[in-house]
Amino acid sequence: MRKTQINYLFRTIIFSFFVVVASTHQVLVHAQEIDSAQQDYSLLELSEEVGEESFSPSQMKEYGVQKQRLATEIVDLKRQLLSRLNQYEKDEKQYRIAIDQYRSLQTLNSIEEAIAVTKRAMLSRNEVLEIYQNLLRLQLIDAQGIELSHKRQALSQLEENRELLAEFKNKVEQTNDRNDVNNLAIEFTPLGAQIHETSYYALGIMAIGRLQSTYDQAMVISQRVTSAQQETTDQTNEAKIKRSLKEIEKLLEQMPPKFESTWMKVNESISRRGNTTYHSLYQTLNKNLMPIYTDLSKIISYFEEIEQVR
Amino acid sequence: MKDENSIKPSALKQQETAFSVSSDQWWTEGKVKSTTPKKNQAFLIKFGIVVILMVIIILIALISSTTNKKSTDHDPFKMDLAQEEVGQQELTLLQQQIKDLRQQLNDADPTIKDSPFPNLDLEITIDQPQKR
Repeated sequence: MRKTQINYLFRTIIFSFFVVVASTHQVLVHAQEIDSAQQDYSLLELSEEVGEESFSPSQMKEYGVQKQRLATEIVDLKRQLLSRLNQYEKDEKQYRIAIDQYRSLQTLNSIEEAIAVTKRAMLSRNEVLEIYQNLLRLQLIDAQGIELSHKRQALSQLEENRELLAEFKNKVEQTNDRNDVNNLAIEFTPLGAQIHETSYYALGIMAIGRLQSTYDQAMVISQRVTSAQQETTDQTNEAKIKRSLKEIEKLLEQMPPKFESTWMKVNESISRRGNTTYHSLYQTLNKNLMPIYTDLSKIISYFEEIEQVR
Repeated sequence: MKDENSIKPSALKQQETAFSVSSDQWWTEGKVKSTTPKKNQAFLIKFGIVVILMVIIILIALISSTTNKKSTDHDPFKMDLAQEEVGQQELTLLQQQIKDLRQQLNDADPTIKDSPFPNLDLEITIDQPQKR
């Protein structure tokens, strides 16, 4: 009797230990996720403050640390995405084979196999999309030179997509019937289109942002080059340097209207949703961005020439 | 004369039988007695293994948490300073900034598709006709 009591106590201790370990792990993971998300958004807020030039040295340091952390997370997510894509390709291949067999054989076994493999392919695709949406979210937070209204809108859409993907994943996991799987495929169509659109919206504004940020930096360096030349230039070269700086200034002045028209196109595509897709906008954006890229390249070449950078 | 201390043969025989009986008893009793401590020992060994496992799990958790912390704790400013020092040996600060700007522009090349939308089948289903 005593022995059974000890055994019972012993088992209870082991069980409670594992429960404690598991729950602690869950709490820690959840806390880490919340912490990570909060840090991502605090970086967004910090970057806004840094953009407004109202930052203290401690804020600047915090901004740098968070930026570094974000860069590490982005690299990690890219690695995860690659590995998940490899898995998806394998699952998709199996799915195609099983569906072909099901359509040609129409046996009960082939139906069972088709259901299982389709579910696996759906879950695999879901995982790739979840990671991809998270990757875009972090890249967007990290990006500079993007109009804040667009940044916030794209971020909220990416968040929404992640939630919808998590819901869809639960539904797929709980489904075991052929008709239900077919219904889930129909249900996914608008979600897939939404994810596709949001992704191209994010990619588009990030492409503009990268050039905008380079232009902002070029403005700062232009001022530095001008003041450096004023300090060092002798009278014989003064006229030549003045002409060069004027040339740079002229090119820089031409840039803002080009950026404005590009942002206008993004705004127009938002208000005209349905007629134009973000995917087509992204493709046309490249044509608009090329002249900006060429002009910026020319400006930097002038800087390199004046400051003799090789 | 008879030695008083000498043992009679009959008594010796009795003693021998008594000894053999008691040794048998001891053997069987001992066997019964020894099973209880053996069971207790097995229980203790089990308990000991579980305790050791717990300690190992806690140690692993501690080690992994400290290594994770270490991986994120490096100071980017020190790295930047080190890079700047290397750069300053050959270039002025302004020259280095121009070089960085060129790199930034190269990264912003619109023809480079960083993280494009993955090539996925968005119409995975069982019974609908495949468009691919």
